[in-house]
Amino acid sequence: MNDRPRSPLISTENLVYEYPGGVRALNGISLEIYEGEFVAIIGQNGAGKSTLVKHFNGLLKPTSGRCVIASKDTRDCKVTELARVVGYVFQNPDHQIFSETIEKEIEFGPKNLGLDKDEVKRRVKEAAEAVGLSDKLDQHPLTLSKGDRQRLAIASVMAMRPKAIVIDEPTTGQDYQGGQQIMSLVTSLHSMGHTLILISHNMELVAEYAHRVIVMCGGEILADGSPAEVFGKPDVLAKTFLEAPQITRIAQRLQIPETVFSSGRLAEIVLGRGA
Amino acid sequence: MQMYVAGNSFIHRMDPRAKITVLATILVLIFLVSNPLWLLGVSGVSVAIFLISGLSYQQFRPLIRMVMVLAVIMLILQGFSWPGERALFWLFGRFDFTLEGTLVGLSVALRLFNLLFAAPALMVTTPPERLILGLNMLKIPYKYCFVIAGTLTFFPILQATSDEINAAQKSRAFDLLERRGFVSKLQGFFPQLLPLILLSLRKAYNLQIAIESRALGRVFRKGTRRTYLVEMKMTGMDYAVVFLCLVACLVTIVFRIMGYGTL
Ligand SMILES: Nc1ncnc2c1ncn2[C@@H]1O[C@H](COP(=O)(O)OP(=O)(O)OP(=O)(O)O)[C@@H](O)[C@H]1O
Ligand SMILES: [Mg+2]
Repeated sequence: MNDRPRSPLISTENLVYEYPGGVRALNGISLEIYEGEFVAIIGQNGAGKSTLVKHFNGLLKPTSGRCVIASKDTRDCKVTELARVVGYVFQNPDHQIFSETIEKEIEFGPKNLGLDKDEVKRRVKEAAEAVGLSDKLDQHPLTLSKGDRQRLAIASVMAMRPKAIVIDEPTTGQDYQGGQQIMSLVTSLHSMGHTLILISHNMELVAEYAHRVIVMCGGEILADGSPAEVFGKPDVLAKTFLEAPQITRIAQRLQIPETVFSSGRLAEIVLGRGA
Repeated sequence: MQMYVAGNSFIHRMDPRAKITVLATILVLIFLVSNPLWLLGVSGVSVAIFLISGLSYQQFRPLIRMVMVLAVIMLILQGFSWPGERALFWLFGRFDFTLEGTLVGLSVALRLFNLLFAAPALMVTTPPERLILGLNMLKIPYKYCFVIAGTLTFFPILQATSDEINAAQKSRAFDLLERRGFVSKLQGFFPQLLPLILLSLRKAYNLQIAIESRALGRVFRKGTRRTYLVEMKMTGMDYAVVFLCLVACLVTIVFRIMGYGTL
Protein backbone atom coordinates (compact mmCIF):
# COMPACT_ATOMS: atom_id res chain seq x y z
CA MET A 1 0.00 0.00 0.00
CA ASN A 2 2.77 2.42 0.86
CA ASP A 3 4.90 1.94 -2.22
CA ARG A 4 2.24 3.17 -4.62
CA PRO A 5 3.33 3.72 -8.21
CA ARG A 6 3.33 7.37 -9.17
CA SER A 7 0.48 7.38 -11.70
CA PRO A 8 -2.92 5.94 -10.85
CA LEU A 9 -4.38 3.07 -12.89
CA ILE A 10 -7.75 4.80 -13.11
CA SER A 11 -8.38 8.47 -12.64
CA THR A 12 -11.24 10.84 -13.37
CA GLU A 13 -11.24 14.61 -13.32
CA ASN A 14 -14.50 16.49 -12.96
CA LEU A 15 -16.26 13.71 -14.78
CA VAL A 16 -19.77 14.66 -15.84
CA TYR A 17 -22.07 12.29 -17.68
CA GLU A 18 -25.50 12.98 -19.10
CA TYR A 19 -27.64 10.24 -20.62
CA PRO A 20 -29.14 11.10 -24.01
CA GLY A 21 -32.54 11.87 -22.42
CA GLY A 22 -30.86 14.63 -20.41
CA VAL A 23 -30.50 12.81 -17.06
CA ARG A 24 -27.29 14.00 -15.41
CA ALA A 25 -26.11 10.78 -13.79
CA LEU A 26 -22.61 11.97 -12.81
CA ASN A 27 -21.98 15.46 -11.58
CA GLY A 28 -18.26 16.18 -11.39
CA ILE A 29 -16.54 13.05 -10.12
CA SER A 30 -12.81 13.24 -9.37
CA LEU A 31 -11.06 10.18 -8.03
CA GLU A 32 -7.91 8.12 -8.36
CA ILE A 33 -7.58 4.39 -8.06
CA TYR A 34 -4.12 2.86 -7.82
CA GLU A 35 -2.93 -0.57 -8.82
CA GLY A 36 -3.57 -3.16 -6.13
CA GLU A 37 -6.46 -1.39 -4.41
CA PHE A 38 -9.67 -3.09 -3.31
CA VAL A 39 -12.38 -0.46 -3.63
CA ALA A 40 -16.08 -0.80 -2.88
CA ILE A 41 -18.58 1.69 -4.26
CA ILE A 42 -21.82 2.03 -2.34
CA GLY A 43 -24.88 4.27 -2.63
CA GLN A 44 -28.64 4.04 -3.05
CA ASN A 45 -30.33 3.00 -6.31
CA GLY A 46 -29.76 5.53 -9.06
CA ALA A 47 -26.75 7.11 -7.32
CA GLY A 48 -24.70 6.70 -10.49
CA LYS A 49 -22.48 3.78 -9.46
CA SER A 50 -22.94 1.75 -12.63
CA THR A 51 -22.65 4.86 -14.78
CA LEU A 52 -19.30 5.68 -13.13
CA VAL A 53 -17.74 2.25 -13.53
CA LYS A 54 -18.90 2.04 -17.14
CA HIS A 55 -16.41 4.84 -17.78
CA PHE A 56 -13.57 2.69 -16.46
CA ASN A 57 -13.46 0.52 -19.58
CA GLY A 58 -14.74 3.10 -22.02
CA LEU A 59 -18.30 1.80 -22.37
CA LEU A 60 -19.40 5.36 -21.66
CA LYS A 61 -17.39 8.44 -22.58
CA PRO A 62 -17.51 11.58 -20.42
CA THR A 63 -19.90 14.34 -21.44
CA SER A 64 -17.33 16.68 -19.95
CA GLY A 65 -14.24 16.19 -17.82
CA ARG A 66 -11.78 13.37 -18.27
CA CYS A 67 -11.38 9.69 -17.54
CA VAL A 68 -7.84 8.33 -17.82
CA ILE A 69 -7.08 4.60 -17.75
CA ALA A 70 -3.44 3.45 -17.63
CA SER A 71 -2.34 6.95 -18.79
CA LYS A 72 -4.71 6.95 -21.77
CA ASP A 73 -7.75 9.18 -22.17
CA THR A 74 -10.73 6.87 -22.72
CA ARG A 75 -12.03 9.17 -25.42
CA ASP A 76 -9.19 7.99 -27.66
CA CYS A 77 -9.66 4.27 -26.95
CA LYS A 78 -12.03 1.54 -27.95
CA VAL A 79 -13.70 -0.67 -25.35
CA THR A 80 -12.06 -3.69 -26.91
CA GLU A 81 -8.61 -2.20 -26.30
CA LEU A 82 -9.41 -1.13 -22.75
CA ALA A 83 -10.75 -4.63 -22.03
CA ARG A 84 -7.12 -5.73 -21.67
CA VAL A 85 -6.64 -3.32 -18.80
CA VAL A 86 -10.02 -3.24 -17.10
CA GLY A 87 -12.33 -6.25 -17.04
CA TYR A 88 -16.01 -5.68 -16.35
CA VAL A 89 -18.31 -8.30 -14.88
CA PHE A 90 -21.91 -7.33 -15.55
CA GLN A 91 -24.61 -7.54 -12.94
CA ASN A 92 -26.59 -10.20 -14.76
CA PRO A 93 -24.42 -13.10 -15.99
CA ASP A 94 -27.17 -14.07 -18.44
CA HIS A 95 -26.38 -10.96 -20.47
CA GLN A 96 -23.16 -12.56 -21.63
CA ILE A 97 -23.42 -16.36 -21.51
CA PHE A 98 -23.96 -17.82 -24.97
CA SER A 99 -21.61 -20.81 -25.34
CA GLU A 100 -22.64 -24.46 -25.16
CA THR A 101 -19.96 -25.38 -22.64
CA ILE A 102 -18.39 -23.65 -19.69
CA GLU A 103 -14.96 -24.08 -21.22
CA LYS A 104 -16.00 -22.27 -24.41
CA GLU A 105 -17.56 -19.47 -22.41
CA ILE A 106 -14.30 -18.87 -20.51
CA GLU A 107 -12.30 -19.11 -23.76
CA PHE A 108 -14.27 -16.32 -25.40
CA GLY A 109 -12.36 -13.37 -23.94
CA PRO A 110 -8.81 -14.78 -24.30
CA LYS A 111 -9.57 -15.83 -27.88
CA ASN A 112 -10.80 -12.33 -28.68
CA LEU A 113 -7.45 -11.07 -27.40
CA GLY A 114 -5.82 -13.20 -30.09
CA LEU A 115 -3.84 -15.43 -27.73
CA ASP A 116 -2.46 -18.74 -29.00
CA LYS A 117 -4.12 -22.06 -28.24
CA ASP A 118 -1.84 -23.20 -25.42
CA GLU A 119 -2.09 -19.88 -23.65
CA VAL A 120 -5.88 -19.92 -23.95
CA LYS A 121 -5.96 -23.45 -22.48
CA ARG A 122 -3.73 -22.43 -19.60
CA ARG A 123 -5.87 -19.42 -18.77
CA VAL A 124 -9.13 -21.35 -18.94
CA LYS A 125 -7.72 -23.91 -16.54
CA GLU A 126 -6.45 -21.28 -14.16
CA ALA A 127 -9.69 -19.26 -14.19
CA ALA A 128 -11.90 -22.33 -13.79
CA GLU A 129 -9.82 -23.43 -10.82
CA ALA A 130 -10.01 -20.01 -9.22
CA VAL A 131 -13.82 -20.01 -9.29
CA GLY A 132 -14.22 -23.71 -8.53
CA LEU A 133 -15.70 -24.84 -11.84
CA SER A 134 -12.81 -27.09 -12.97
CA ASP A 135 -14.80 -30.31 -12.83
CA LYS A 136 -17.70 -28.92 -14.86
CA LEU A 137 -15.81 -27.60 -17.89
CA ASP A 138 -17.86 -29.52 -20.47
CA GLN A 139 -21.24 -28.86 -18.89
CA HIS A 140 -23.79 -26.50 -20.38
CA PRO A 141 -23.70 -23.11 -18.60
CA LEU A 142 -27.48 -23.04 -18.22
CA THR A 143 -27.38 -26.12 -16.00
CA LEU A 144 -25.56 -24.02 -13.42
CA SER A 145 -27.17 -22.25 -10.50
CA LYS A 146 -27.32 -18.46 -10.56
CA GLY A 147 -24.39 -18.24 -8.15
CA ASP A 148 -22.29 -20.52 -10.34
CA ARG A 149 -23.25 -18.56 -13.47
CA GLN A 150 -22.03 -15.46 -11.64
CA ARG A 151 -18.72 -17.26 -10.96
CA LEU A 152 -18.54 -18.30 -14.59
CA ALA A 153 -18.94 -14.67 -15.64
CA ILE A 154 -16.13 -13.70 -13.28
CA ALA A 155 -13.92 -16.51 -14.62
CA SER A 156 -14.54 -15.45 -18.21
CA VAL A 157 -13.33 -11.95 -17.37
CA MET A 158 -10.36 -12.94 -15.21
CA ALA A 159 -9.13 -15.28 -17.96
CA MET A 160 -8.27 -12.14 -19.91
CA ARG A 161 -5.93 -11.17 -17.04
CA PRO A 162 -6.91 -7.53 -16.88
CA LYS A 163 -5.07 -5.34 -14.38
CA ALA A 164 -8.34 -4.29 -12.77
CA ILE A 165 -11.67 -6.05 -12.50
CA VAL A 166 -14.94 -4.20 -12.02
CA ILE A 167 -17.77 -6.27 -10.55
CA ASP A 168 -21.26 -4.78 -10.50
CA GLU A 169 -23.33 -6.14 -7.60
CA PRO A 170 -22.16 -9.75 -7.47
CA THR A 171 -24.10 -10.55 -4.32
CA THR A 172 -27.66 -9.59 -5.26
CA GLY A 173 -30.06 -12.49 -4.97
CA GLN A 174 -27.53 -14.55 -3.03
CA ASP A 175 -28.15 -15.90 0.43
CA TYR A 176 -25.69 -15.30 3.25
CA GLN A 177 -23.47 -18.24 2.30
CA GLY A 178 -23.60 -17.42 -1.42
CA GLY A 179 -22.57 -13.85 -0.65
CA GLN A 180 -19.68 -15.03 1.53
CA GLN A 181 -18.51 -17.42 -1.20
CA ILE A 182 -18.53 -14.76 -3.90
CA MET A 183 -16.72 -12.36 -1.59
CA SER A 184 -14.02 -14.87 -0.74
CA LEU A 185 -13.59 -15.42 -4.49
CA VAL A 186 -13.31 -11.67 -4.96
CA THR A 187 -10.74 -11.51 -2.16
CA SER A 188 -8.69 -14.24 -3.77
CA LEU A 189 -8.78 -12.33 -7.09
CA HIS A 190 -7.39 -9.38 -5.17
CA SER A 191 -4.62 -11.40 -3.59
CA MET A 192 -3.74 -12.74 -7.06
CA GLY A 193 -2.81 -9.17 -7.91
CA HIS A 194 -5.94 -7.76 -9.55
CA THR A 195 -7.06 -4.28 -8.64
CA LEU A 196 -10.70 -4.65 -7.60
CA ILE A 197 -13.62 -2.30 -7.92
CA LEU A 198 -16.80 -3.65 -6.47
CA ILE A 199 -20.31 -2.23 -6.43
CA SER A 200 -22.40 -3.60 -3.61
CA HIS A 201 -25.47 -2.95 -1.51
CA ASN A 202 -24.33 -5.32 1.17
CA MET A 203 -22.75 -3.19 3.89
CA GLU A 204 -21.70 -6.18 6.01
CA LEU A 205 -19.69 -7.67 3.15
CA VAL A 206 -18.23 -4.33 2.12
CA ALA A 207 -17.11 -3.56 5.68
CA GLU A 208 -15.62 -6.99 6.08
CA TYR A 209 -13.69 -7.25 2.80
CA ALA A 210 -13.00 -3.91 1.08
CA HIS A 211 -9.99 -1.72 1.89
CA ARG A 212 -11.49 1.50 0.61
CA VAL A 213 -15.13 2.59 0.42
CA ILE A 214 -16.53 5.28 -1.86
CA VAL A 215 -20.02 6.54 -1.04
CA MET A 216 -22.00 7.98 -3.95
CA CYS A 217 -25.20 10.00 -3.90
CA GLY A 218 -26.94 11.90 -6.68
CA GLY A 219 -23.99 11.59 -9.06
CA GLU A 220 -21.45 12.89 -6.55
CA ILE A 221 -18.98 11.40 -4.11
CA LEU A 222 -20.11 11.88 -0.50
CA ALA A 223 -17.27 10.09 1.25
CA ASP A 224 -14.12 8.21 0.32
CA GLY A 225 -11.93 6.41 2.80
CA SER A 226 -11.24 3.23 4.72
CA PRO A 227 -14.28 1.26 5.96
CA ALA A 228 -13.54 2.47 9.48
CA GLU A 229 -13.52 6.11 8.36
CA VAL A 230 -16.64 5.85 6.21
CA PHE A 231 -18.78 3.74 8.53
CA GLY A 232 -17.64 5.87 11.44
CA LYS A 233 -19.73 8.74 10.04
CA PRO A 234 -23.35 7.66 10.39
CA ASP A 235 -24.62 11.19 9.56
CA VAL A 236 -22.97 11.13 6.13
CA LEU A 237 -24.34 7.67 5.41
CA ALA A 238 -27.81 8.72 6.47
CA LYS A 239 -27.84 11.42 3.77
CA THR A 240 -27.98 8.67 1.20
CA PHE A 241 -30.19 6.35 3.28
CA LEU A 242 -27.41 3.89 4.00
CA GLU A 243 -26.58 2.41 7.35
CA ALA A 244 -23.35 0.97 8.68
CA PRO A 245 -23.39 -2.77 9.40
CA GLN A 246 -25.57 -3.72 12.35
CA ILE A 247 -22.62 -4.70 14.50
CA THR A 248 -21.01 -1.31 13.88
CA ARG A 249 -24.18 0.50 14.87
CA ILE A 250 -24.47 -1.53 18.07
CA ALA A 251 -20.91 -0.53 18.94
CA GLN A 252 -21.74 3.10 18.17
CA ARG A 253 -24.77 2.91 20.47
CA LEU A 254 -22.52 1.54 23.18
CA GLN A 255 -20.39 4.65 22.57
CA ILE A 256 -17.33 2.63 21.77
CA PRO A 257 -14.98 5.05 19.95
CA GLU A 258 -13.56 2.36 17.66
CA THR A 259 -15.44 1.43 14.45
CA VAL A 260 -16.19 -2.25 14.94
CA PHE A 261 -16.98 -4.71 12.14
CA SER A 262 -17.02 -8.11 13.82
CA SER A 263 -18.90 -9.57 16.74
CA GLY A 264 -15.62 -11.04 18.00
CA ARG A 265 -13.99 -7.62 18.27
CA LEU A 266 -17.07 -6.14 19.94
CA ALA A 267 -17.08 -8.95 22.49
CA GLU A 268 -13.40 -8.33 23.21
CA ILE A 269 -13.96 -4.65 23.82
CA VAL A 270 -17.09 -5.11 25.92
CA LEU A 271 -15.61 -7.92 28.02
CA GLY A 272 -12.34 -6.05 28.34
CA ARG A 273 -14.21 -3.02 29.58
CA GLY A 274 -16.34 -5.07 31.94
CA ALA A 275 -13.29 -6.72 33.50
CA MET B 1 -36.80 4.26 -30.22
CA GLN B 2 -38.35 5.49 -27.03
CA MET B 3 -41.82 4.47 -25.93
CA TYR B 4 -42.84 7.79 -24.51
CA VAL B 5 -41.41 11.21 -25.18
CA ALA B 6 -42.60 13.69 -22.58
CA GLY B 7 -43.90 17.07 -23.67
CA ASN B 8 -46.76 19.48 -23.35
CA SER B 9 -47.98 19.95 -26.92
CA PHE B 10 -51.62 19.90 -27.97
CA ILE B 11 -51.13 16.29 -29.07
CA HIS B 12 -49.65 15.38 -25.69
CA ARG B 13 -52.66 16.80 -23.89
CA MET B 14 -55.21 15.04 -26.08
CA ASP B 15 -57.16 12.18 -24.52
CA PRO B 16 -55.83 8.78 -25.63
CA ARG B 17 -59.30 7.90 -26.91
CA ALA B 18 -59.28 10.92 -29.20
CA LYS B 19 -55.81 9.98 -30.41
CA ILE B 20 -56.88 6.44 -31.16
CA THR B 21 -59.79 7.87 -33.15
CA VAL B 22 -57.46 10.12 -35.14
CA LEU B 23 -55.13 7.24 -35.93
CA ALA B 24 -58.04 4.98 -36.91
CA THR B 25 -59.41 7.73 -39.15
CA ILE B 26 -56.08 8.18 -40.91
CA LEU B 27 -55.91 4.42 -41.43
CA VAL B 28 -59.42 4.34 -42.88
CA LEU B 29 -58.70 7.30 -45.15
CA ILE B 30 -55.47 6.00 -46.60
CA PHE B 31 -56.99 2.64 -47.38
CA LEU B 32 -60.18 4.02 -48.86
CA VAL B 33 -58.36 6.46 -51.10
CA SER B 34 -55.83 5.43 -53.69
CA ASN B 35 -55.39 8.58 -55.75
CA PRO B 36 -51.90 9.94 -54.97
CA LEU B 37 -53.16 13.54 -55.02
CA TRP B 38 -55.80 12.78 -52.40
CA LEU B 39 -53.25 10.86 -50.37
CA LEU B 40 -51.00 13.88 -50.51
CA GLY B 41 -53.82 15.81 -48.84
CA VAL B 42 -54.00 13.27 -46.00
CA SER B 43 -50.19 13.45 -45.71
CA GLY B 44 -50.55 17.16 -45.04
CA VAL B 45 -52.63 16.31 -41.97
CA SER B 46 -50.16 13.65 -40.81
CA VAL B 47 -47.19 15.98 -41.16
CA ALA B 48 -49.11 18.68 -39.33
CA ILE B 49 -49.75 16.27 -36.44
CA PHE B 50 -46.05 15.41 -36.36
CA LEU B 51 -45.08 19.08 -36.30
CA ILE B 52 -47.61 20.00 -33.60
CA SER B 53 -46.43 17.12 -31.41
CA GLY B 54 -43.03 18.81 -31.18
CA LEU B 55 -41.16 15.52 -31.65
CA SER B 56 -37.70 15.96 -33.04
CA TYR B 57 -37.10 14.77 -36.56
CA GLN B 58 -33.63 13.63 -35.41
CA GLN B 59 -35.06 10.94 -33.19
CA PHE B 60 -37.06 9.37 -35.97
CA ARG B 61 -34.44 9.72 -38.65
CA PRO B 62 -33.39 6.04 -38.72
CA LEU B 63 -37.01 4.93 -39.00
CA ILE B 64 -37.80 7.57 -41.61
CA ARG B 65 -34.79 6.57 -43.69
CA MET B 66 -35.82 2.94 -43.57
CA VAL B 67 -39.31 3.74 -44.79
CA MET B 68 -37.98 6.07 -47.50
CA VAL B 69 -35.91 3.19 -48.85
CA LEU B 70 -38.96 0.91 -48.69
CA ALA B 71 -41.04 3.51 -50.53
CA VAL B 72 -38.49 3.79 -53.34
CA ILE B 73 -38.33 0.01 -53.65
CA MET B 74 -42.14 -0.10 -53.81
CA LEU B 75 -42.17 2.53 -56.50
CA ILE B 76 -39.65 0.67 -58.63
CA LEU B 77 -41.28 -2.73 -58.15
CA GLN B 78 -44.78 -1.46 -58.92
CA GLY B 79 -43.55 0.62 -61.86
CA PHE B 80 -42.11 -2.44 -63.55
CA SER B 81 -44.62 -5.07 -62.53
CA TRP B 82 -48.04 -3.39 -62.66
CA PRO B 83 -49.91 -4.46 -65.81
CA GLY B 84 -50.34 -0.99 -67.36
CA GLU B 85 -50.71 0.40 -70.88
CA ARG B 86 -48.79 3.64 -70.89
CA ALA B 87 -45.07 2.96 -70.64
CA LEU B 88 -42.86 5.76 -69.39
CA PHE B 89 -39.58 4.05 -70.37
CA TRP B 90 -38.14 0.63 -71.05
CA LEU B 91 -35.28 -1.35 -69.70
CA PHE B 92 -33.44 -3.69 -72.09
CA GLY B 93 -36.23 -3.02 -74.57
CA ARG B 94 -38.53 -5.41 -72.76
CA PHE B 95 -39.37 -4.27 -69.24
CA ASP B 96 -41.92 -1.47 -69.24
CA PHE B 97 -42.00 1.07 -66.49
CA THR B 98 -45.65 2.09 -66.74
CA LEU B 99 -47.51 5.22 -65.73
CA GLU B 100 -50.15 3.14 -63.96
CA GLY B 101 -47.47 1.30 -62.05
CA THR B 102 -45.86 4.57 -61.04
CA LEU B 103 -49.15 5.84 -59.68
CA VAL B 104 -49.79 2.63 -57.73
CA GLY B 105 -46.23 2.75 -56.40
CA LEU B 106 -46.70 6.39 -55.40
CA SER B 107 -49.88 5.65 -53.53
CA VAL B 108 -48.28 2.76 -51.63
CA ALA B 109 -45.31 4.97 -50.79
CA LEU B 110 -47.61 7.77 -49.62
CA ARG B 111 -49.56 5.36 -47.41
CA LEU B 112 -46.33 4.30 -45.75
CA PHE B 113 -45.34 7.91 -45.37
CA ASN B 114 -48.64 8.72 -43.66
CA LEU B 115 -48.38 5.88 -41.21
CA LEU B 116 -44.81 6.80 -40.46
CA PHE B 117 -45.58 10.36 -39.47
CA ALA B 118 -48.97 9.96 -37.85
CA ALA B 119 -48.58 6.76 -35.84
CA PRO B 120 -45.45 7.65 -33.84
CA ALA B 121 -46.61 11.22 -33.32
CA LEU B 122 -49.83 9.98 -31.78
CA MET B 123 -48.49 6.98 -29.86
CA VAL B 124 -45.15 8.25 -28.56
CA THR B 125 -46.91 11.23 -27.00
CA THR B 126 -49.04 8.92 -24.83
CA PRO B 127 -47.63 7.10 -21.80
CA PRO B 128 -48.26 3.37 -22.48
CA GLU B 129 -50.40 2.93 -19.38
CA ARG B 130 -52.71 5.76 -20.45
CA LEU B 131 -52.95 4.34 -23.93
CA ILE B 132 -54.03 1.00 -22.51
CA LEU B 133 -56.49 2.68 -20.18
CA GLY B 134 -57.90 4.52 -23.18
CA LEU B 135 -58.34 1.30 -25.12
CA ASN B 136 -59.93 -0.33 -22.12
CA MET B 137 -62.36 2.56 -21.69
CA LEU B 138 -63.33 2.13 -25.33
CA LYS B 139 -64.68 -1.26 -24.15
CA ILE B 140 -61.91 -3.30 -25.74
CA PRO B 141 -61.57 -6.44 -23.57
CA TYR B 142 -58.72 -6.23 -21.09
CA LYS B 143 -57.01 -9.29 -22.51
CA TYR B 144 -56.54 -7.61 -25.88
CA CYS B 145 -55.40 -4.40 -24.23
CA PHE B 146 -52.86 -6.41 -22.33
CA VAL B 147 -51.53 -8.00 -25.50
CA ILE B 148 -51.18 -4.58 -27.12
CA ALA B 149 -49.45 -3.19 -24.03
CA GLY B 150 -47.13 -6.20 -23.97
CA THR B 151 -46.18 -5.68 -27.59
CA LEU B 152 -45.66 -1.95 -27.14
CA THR B 153 -43.37 -2.38 -24.16
CA PHE B 154 -41.60 -5.39 -25.63
CA PHE B 155 -39.52 -3.46 -28.13
CA PRO B 156 -37.93 -0.90 -25.80
CA ILE B 157 -37.13 -3.70 -23.33
CA LEU B 158 -35.60 -5.73 -26.14
CA GLN B 159 -33.54 -2.71 -27.14
CA ALA B 160 -32.29 -2.12 -23.60
CA THR B 161 -31.40 -5.79 -23.11
CA SER B 162 -29.66 -5.88 -26.44
CA ASP B 163 -27.57 -2.82 -25.53
CA GLU B 164 -26.58 -4.41 -22.23
CA ILE B 165 -25.52 -7.66 -23.97
CA ASN B 166 -23.56 -5.69 -26.51
CA ALA B 167 -21.73 -3.87 -23.72
CA ALA B 168 -21.01 -7.13 -21.87
CA GLN B 169 -19.50 -8.79 -24.95
CA LYS B 170 -17.49 -5.71 -25.92
CA SER B 171 -16.04 -5.77 -22.41
CA ARG B 172 -14.64 -9.18 -23.29
CA ALA B 173 -12.77 -7.65 -26.23
CA PHE B 174 -15.40 -8.80 -28.70
CA ASP B 175 -15.36 -6.72 -31.87
CA LEU B 176 -16.50 -9.02 -34.68
CA LEU B 177 -19.59 -6.93 -35.30
CA GLU B 178 -17.44 -3.89 -35.89
CA ARG B 179 -15.18 -5.63 -38.36
CA ARG B 180 -15.78 -5.64 -42.06
CA GLY B 181 -16.67 -8.72 -43.99
CA PHE B 182 -19.76 -10.86 -44.16
CA VAL B 183 -18.35 -13.89 -42.32
CA SER B 184 -17.18 -11.87 -39.33
CA LYS B 185 -20.53 -10.13 -39.14
CA LEU B 186 -22.37 -13.45 -39.27
CA GLN B 187 -20.17 -15.04 -36.60
CA GLY B 188 -20.54 -11.90 -34.57
CA PHE B 189 -24.27 -12.35 -34.27
CA PHE B 190 -24.21 -15.40 -32.02
CA PRO B 191 -22.74 -13.82 -28.88
CA GLN B 192 -25.27 -11.02 -29.37
CA LEU B 193 -28.34 -12.96 -30.32
CA LEU B 194 -28.24 -16.09 -28.18
CA PRO B 195 -28.37 -14.37 -24.78
CA LEU B 196 -31.12 -12.12 -26.13
CA ILE B 197 -33.25 -15.06 -27.22
CA LEU B 198 -32.69 -16.94 -23.97
CA LEU B 199 -33.51 -13.92 -21.84
CA SER B 200 -36.62 -13.12 -23.88
CA LEU B 201 -37.91 -16.66 -23.57
CA ARG B 202 -37.31 -16.64 -19.85
CA LYS B 203 -39.00 -13.25 -19.53
CA ALA B 204 -42.03 -14.45 -21.46
CA TYR B 205 -42.27 -17.53 -19.27
CA ASN B 206 -42.01 -15.49 -16.07
CA LEU B 207 -44.58 -13.04 -17.39
CA GLN B 208 -46.99 -15.89 -17.96
CA ILE B 209 -46.61 -17.04 -14.37
CA ALA B 210 -47.00 -13.48 -13.10
CA ILE B 211 -50.15 -12.98 -15.17
CA GLU B 212 -51.77 -16.19 -14.10
CA SER B 213 -51.00 -15.71 -10.46
CA ARG B 214 -52.81 -12.38 -10.61
CA ALA B 215 -55.90 -13.92 -12.18
CA LEU B 216 -55.86 -12.00 -15.44
CA GLY B 217 -59.14 -12.36 -17.30
CA ARG B 218 -61.25 -12.74 -14.17
CA VAL B 219 -64.79 -11.98 -15.20
CA PHE B 220 -66.62 -9.35 -13.23
CA ARG B 221 -69.94 -10.34 -11.78
CA LYS B 222 -72.92 -9.14 -13.78
CA GLY B 223 -73.99 -5.66 -12.85
CA THR B 224 -70.61 -4.65 -11.40
CA ARG B 225 -68.46 -2.23 -13.31
CA ARG B 226 -64.71 -1.90 -13.38
CA THR B 227 -63.55 1.28 -11.67
CA TYR B 228 -60.38 3.13 -12.55
CA LEU B 229 -57.68 4.53 -10.34
CA VAL B 230 -57.00 7.33 -12.81
CA GLU B 231 -60.15 8.73 -14.34
CA MET B 232 -59.67 10.32 -17.75
CA LYS B 233 -62.06 12.99 -18.93
CA MET B 234 -62.65 13.89 -22.56
CA THR B 235 -62.54 17.66 -22.92
CA GLY B 236 -64.54 19.74 -25.40
CA MET B 237 -61.45 19.87 -27.61
CA ASP B 238 -61.24 16.08 -27.62
CA TYR B 239 -64.92 15.79 -28.63
CA ALA B 240 -64.30 18.32 -31.41
CA VAL B 241 -61.41 16.22 -32.71
CA VAL B 242 -63.49 13.04 -32.64
CA PHE B 243 -66.33 14.85 -34.41
CA LEU B 244 -63.97 16.10 -37.15
CA CYS B 245 -62.63 12.58 -37.62
CA LEU B 246 -66.10 11.14 -38.03
CA VAL B 247 -67.00 13.84 -40.56
CA ALA B 248 -63.80 13.18 -42.49
CA CYS B 249 -64.56 9.45 -42.61
CA LEU B 250 -68.17 10.00 -43.71
CA VAL B 251 -67.25 12.50 -46.41
CA THR B 252 -64.56 10.20 -47.79
CA ILE B 253 -66.91 7.23 -47.83
CA VAL B 254 -69.53 9.23 -49.71
CA PHE B 255 -66.97 10.44 -52.25
CA ARG B 256 -65.68 6.91 -52.71
CA ILE B 257 -69.21 5.62 -53.37
CA MET B 258 -69.62 8.40 -55.92
CA GLY B 259 -66.47 7.11 -57.58
CA TYR B 260 -63.91 9.78 -56.69
CA GLY B 261 -60.50 9.31 -55.11
CA THR B 262 -59.48 6.20 -57.02
CA LEU B 263 -56.78 5.95 -59.62
N1 LIG C 1 -29.65 4.10 -20.23
C1 LIG C 1 -30.06 5.12 -19.46
N2 LIG C 1 -30.73 6.15 -20.01
C2 LIG C 1 -31.15 7.19 -19.26
N3 LIG C 1 -30.96 7.30 -17.95
C3 LIG C 1 -30.29 6.31 -17.32
C4 LIG C 1 -29.81 5.16 -18.05
N4 LIG C 1 -29.19 4.34 -17.17
C5 LIG C 1 -29.28 4.94 -15.98
N5 LIG C 1 -29.93 6.11 -16.05
C6 LIG C 1 -30.18 7.06 -14.94
O1 LIG C 1 -28.95 7.51 -14.44
C7 LIG C 1 -28.97 7.55 -13.02
C8 LIG C 1 -27.85 6.71 -12.44
O2 LIG C 1 -28.07 5.36 -12.78
P1 LIG C 1 -27.08 4.18 -12.41
O3 LIG C 1 -27.55 2.96 -13.11
O4 LIG C 1 -25.68 4.61 -12.66
O5 LIG C 1 -27.32 4.03 -10.85
P2 LIG C 1 -26.77 2.92 -9.85
O6 LIG C 1 -26.13 3.67 -8.74
O7 LIG C 1 -25.97 1.91 -10.57
O8 LIG C 1 -28.13 2.29 -9.32
P3 LIG C 1 -28.47 0.76 -8.93
O9 LIG C 1 -28.05 0.59 -7.50
O10 LIG C 1 -29.97 0.73 -9.07
O11 LIG C 1 -27.77 -0.14 -9.89
C9 LIG C 1 -30.36 7.10 -12.62
O12 LIG C 1 -31.13 8.25 -12.36
C10 LIG C 1 -30.88 6.36 -13.80
O13 LIG C 1 -32.28 6.50 -13.89
MG1 LIG D 1 -26.26 -0.18 -11.07
